[in-house]
Amino acid sequence: MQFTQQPVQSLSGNIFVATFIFISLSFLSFGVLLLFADITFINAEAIKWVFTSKETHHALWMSLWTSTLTTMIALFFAIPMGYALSRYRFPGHIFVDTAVDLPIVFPPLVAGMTLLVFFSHTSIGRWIEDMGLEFVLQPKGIVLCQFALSASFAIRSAKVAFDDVDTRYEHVALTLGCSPWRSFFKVSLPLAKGGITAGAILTWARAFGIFGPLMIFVGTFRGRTEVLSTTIYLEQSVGRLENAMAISMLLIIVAACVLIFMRRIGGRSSIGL
Amino acid sequence: MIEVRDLIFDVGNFRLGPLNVSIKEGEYFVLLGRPGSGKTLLLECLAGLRRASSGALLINGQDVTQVEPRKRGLGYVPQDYALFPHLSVRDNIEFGLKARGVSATEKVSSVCEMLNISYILNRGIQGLSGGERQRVSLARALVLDPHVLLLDEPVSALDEEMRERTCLEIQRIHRETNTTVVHICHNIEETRLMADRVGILRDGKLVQVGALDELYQEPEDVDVARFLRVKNIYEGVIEDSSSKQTTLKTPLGQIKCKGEFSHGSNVHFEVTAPAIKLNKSAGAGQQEDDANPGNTIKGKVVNSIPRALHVEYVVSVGSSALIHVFAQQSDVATLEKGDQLELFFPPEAVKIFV
Repeated sequence: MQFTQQPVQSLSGNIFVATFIFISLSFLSFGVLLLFADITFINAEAIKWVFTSKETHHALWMSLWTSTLTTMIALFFAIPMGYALSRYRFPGHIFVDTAVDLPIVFPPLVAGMTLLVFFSHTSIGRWIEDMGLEFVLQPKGIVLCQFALSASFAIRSAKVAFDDVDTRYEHVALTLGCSPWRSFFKVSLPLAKGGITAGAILTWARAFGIFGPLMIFVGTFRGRTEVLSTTIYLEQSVGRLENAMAISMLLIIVAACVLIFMRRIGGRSSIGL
Repeated sequence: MIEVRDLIFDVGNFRLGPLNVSIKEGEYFVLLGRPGSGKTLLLECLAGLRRASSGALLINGQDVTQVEPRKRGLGYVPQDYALFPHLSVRDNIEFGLKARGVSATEKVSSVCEMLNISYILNRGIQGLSGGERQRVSLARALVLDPHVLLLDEPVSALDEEMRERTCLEIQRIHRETNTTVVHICHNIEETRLMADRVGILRDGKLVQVGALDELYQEPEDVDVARFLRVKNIYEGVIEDSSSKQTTLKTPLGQIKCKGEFSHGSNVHFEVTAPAIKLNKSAGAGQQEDDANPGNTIKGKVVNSIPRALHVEYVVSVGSSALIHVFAQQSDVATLEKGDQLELFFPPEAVKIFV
């Protein structure tokens, strides 16, 4: 194996490289082993069931559109919010900056509980539901739950991306005749595109895989609030482990395909995705 | 014409101003100052990128203090050029025209021809050399026909040869377009090449404004003189002073100068290098007497630096002092390192900084 980008090195240098490669390969082997175990567990009947059952089709479609819609809504908030956090210092900036990261660190079930309590036990929440915007035990609730848990990734990535855009570019654009709006859309946003795309990928991936809070907030109604992770739970709970595993494989394959596609269209992002 | 009236800008603990300066139409004004003196801040205030705390800024008689950057009619070339990396050279140059809704292909072509960058119009920014980037950045500003061009260290990233060539090119553009230019730099040679007038900024204050020669002849204080790299500046104590003559105790020995100063005070003074005469063999020079009441000191050549029109000798005097002497080319062959020599300069060659 030739490392042409590396400097000439002695035995200790080679040991250094080998150590890092060994640790990386160990991690990869663990993932491959798990995947292999999953594959050996699946039988032809389970695969057939995945491709033919209405429940799976519904859950797959539900997972895809809710995750995509969640990502779009998250970006709608994340781009202006990331820009504001990056460019402006206002009272409570540090509080807002910390609050953005909270959903990344607290257990996902907390979000489900919080949403349930808000919409079923507070007057504002009940008023929203009474106005016809029903979320509890409804498909719309899936999007809200996914948004609450994954928007942080989009906001954080957008902030980092705007931090990386030198303000001098915006300043020059202003002196060249741009309004702040035009400067944002013609200079800042295109230059932050990579990081924002990375945030979108993380948001989508997080939304696609959520299960626990969904179980609390929207329940596990077959064919109604069922996403792929719910199907896995439902199949496993009635003892059809092969089906649950086959769905798991489908979830992994779909997630991998979408991530690769988004990376292809988004280019290499600033946070290394 | 740019008129700055009592302009103050506060950022943290740093205060720029109060500044008062007038820059004439078509003038090439160079703003000199050490890093951190507030040069870029002042330029950003002029461009409208920073809101002044107080004071007024007038461009062509119109108060633009509260006017947005896009409506000031200024061209701004920041340090390192800030070319938009996601756009091609052509898109960078046309950026301002598109923002103003102007289609001016002819204007782009003529500016690119003037700056000799037509051949790179369709290229990306990444592969451009420093000189090409600098010209693209200038073209981007010039294509809008600005009243005033603000240049923030436009050649600092270039090598010496490219710097000189680019300076001459900027000067040519300035002559051809008669644009008022405010140019920031901290390089004296660059200033000498470009400036009609110079402003020296120190700790946020404009300490002196004038033609470069005037600044050399009458620097405001010792710091300005040092910044302008004036040679032979020393500290001394006034030993004796009368209306006719003053005697100083200095690292060069006792020095006589003109003017009356208070006894015992510490002063800085300059010995004007071109006024110093030298004799190779110590003792054979001009004698100090009543008829020739000058300063004669003995020293040893420690270095010689060939310049374009003269040779600069560095001569050690006493235990640690060094004095710079400019000698004509014809004297070069007669002096070598280690040679003993005698220096003579009249009292008029000694300038005291009050």
